[in-house]
Amino acid sequence: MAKYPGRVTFVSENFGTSKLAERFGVKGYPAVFVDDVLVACPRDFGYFREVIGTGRYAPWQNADNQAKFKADLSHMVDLILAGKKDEALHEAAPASGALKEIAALPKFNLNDLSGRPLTAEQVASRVVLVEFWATWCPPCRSTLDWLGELKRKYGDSLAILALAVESPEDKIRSAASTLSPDLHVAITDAATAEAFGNITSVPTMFLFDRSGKTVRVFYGAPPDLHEQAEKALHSLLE
Amino acid sequence: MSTWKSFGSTQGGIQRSRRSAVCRWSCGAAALVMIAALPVAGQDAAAQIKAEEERLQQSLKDKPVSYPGDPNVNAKVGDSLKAALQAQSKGQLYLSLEELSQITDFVYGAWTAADKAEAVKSGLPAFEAEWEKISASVTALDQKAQERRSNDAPAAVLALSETAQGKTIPLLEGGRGFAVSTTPMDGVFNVGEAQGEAEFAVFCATLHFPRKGRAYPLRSLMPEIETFQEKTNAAFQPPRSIDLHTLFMSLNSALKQARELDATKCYSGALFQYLYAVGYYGMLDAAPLDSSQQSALKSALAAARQRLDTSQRDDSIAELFLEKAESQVAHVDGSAPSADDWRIAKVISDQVLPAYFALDKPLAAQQRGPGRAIDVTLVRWPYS
Repeated sequence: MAKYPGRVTFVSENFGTSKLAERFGVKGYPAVFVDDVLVACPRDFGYFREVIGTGRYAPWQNADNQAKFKADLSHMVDLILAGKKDEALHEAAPASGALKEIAALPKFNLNDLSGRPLTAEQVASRVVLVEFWATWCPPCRSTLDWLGELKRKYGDSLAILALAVESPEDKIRSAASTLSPDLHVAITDAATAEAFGNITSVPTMFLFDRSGKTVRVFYGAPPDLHEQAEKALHSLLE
Repeated sequence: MSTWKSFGSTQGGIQRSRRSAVCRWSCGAAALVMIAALPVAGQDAAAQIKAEEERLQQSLKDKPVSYPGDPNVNAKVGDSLKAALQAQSKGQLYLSLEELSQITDFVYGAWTAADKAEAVKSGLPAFEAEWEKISASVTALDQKAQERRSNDAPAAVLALSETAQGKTIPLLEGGRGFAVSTTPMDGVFNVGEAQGEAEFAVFCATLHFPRKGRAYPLRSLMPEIETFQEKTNAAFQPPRSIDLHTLFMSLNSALKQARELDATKCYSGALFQYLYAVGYYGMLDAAPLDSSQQSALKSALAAARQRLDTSQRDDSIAELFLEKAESQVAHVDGSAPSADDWRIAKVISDQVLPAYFALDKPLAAQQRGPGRAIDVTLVRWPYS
């Protein structure tokens, strides 16, 4: 903070009540944001049910890791102060849930809520949006409603999968009953969460092109999520 | 380093460092303890504190607490309670009350975890149902404590009460966060702690504790807190950031609580937490004392005692810290103070008490920077 006199305010929020954490689906702590850009999450520090030593700043009690974090945070502050939020978002992305980036739509083998098989092959040759969500995640709800609108807009050229994680089945079914019937809603299994880069926060949304290649991954529910996603979709579908 | 908050060995060993608390006790029994502690007409604060500590002592005999990984926890809590009673008997009421607050927090957490273990076994919906019930009860207690809190009480009593109230809702919500993020069992301990904090705040509000002299000129400490945060951040450099990591966590936690209490105009609590932060910071560099330094420290503490005893003002927050320092260097059981005991007392004498007296000046006009541009937000567990 001393490096940015009067330009940066340090804010401390509590785990359990942090609106920022909720918006980005970050369930553990610590997490660090610069404005509304998530720059580090529990995994990065090897904390909170994570394997110590696996995060980019883990173990935290190591001088090099502390120095690296300080440098990264400082860099993010510089970017945002310089008005380069897009660049910051791009660099921050790996900090969020899906640490392992995936290059293409992975194989998966699920059943939708009616018991029908749901596989990667079924949605091949279409643009695919995969949303990981949970019933306890308020920002996920608005995103799911919006996905229904997208489906209506783009029809068969777009496949949308809404994959629920860590939620009671009755609540998933109850939530799904209010969604567009054109969405493929399923309960995620561990293998699928792992295949998508080990999902640990929601909402997390993947966009794949017709060849199955990963175009973009959206972490959390920042205010401009819909705008950003629709822009990316437009370039693929129009 | 030993625990600055001097909760015997219990605090350092068990306090909130493990999240998967699976302890034994009955929440119903917990409620009875405090209900029984309603004030008796004519009792003064010393008698009320003693009565409450003795009731808690009896309850611990009837229903011991346990904690995973610490088979001696019940004995440690018992020792802490004994220390609280000894402080009470020596007239160190503020110190005794502070120890009671820490014991209450832990014991309620352990009781609730044990009591609700079976109920939340079936998963999150069961936890949510329990959480709703406890939340309603805690919210009602919190409201009661706020309504009953008297601004005529000594600042130290207000500080302890405000601190407890400031922790209640974050613990309640944090418990829910743990249940959702890990397992329901992980959340119930914190939910119990929330109840303990709320019960303690209500207990403080029932104390017949007249304030001595005129009020301390409490005010917002936000400028000092901001400056101290900067100083703390600058100090967080290897090797201390690694070797003294736990101390930095306590320091940041105290600053965070100070900031939150200050923002809600709970200035007694904010001052109290700020002084704790000063103490933690002082411990970063506190050197061991040789025998001549120990003698000098004893004299300094005696002078501070005289100053506070003759003060015509409510300096009870300073009194609490002085009681803490005195108890570090003169153990009730006659045992010799450890090197850390001396260091803690020295930091109180040289840094905490001077900071207290320096803060009774009106707020100086602040130089404003060019204005806020961005926020850096840390999401954290509030108390470690």
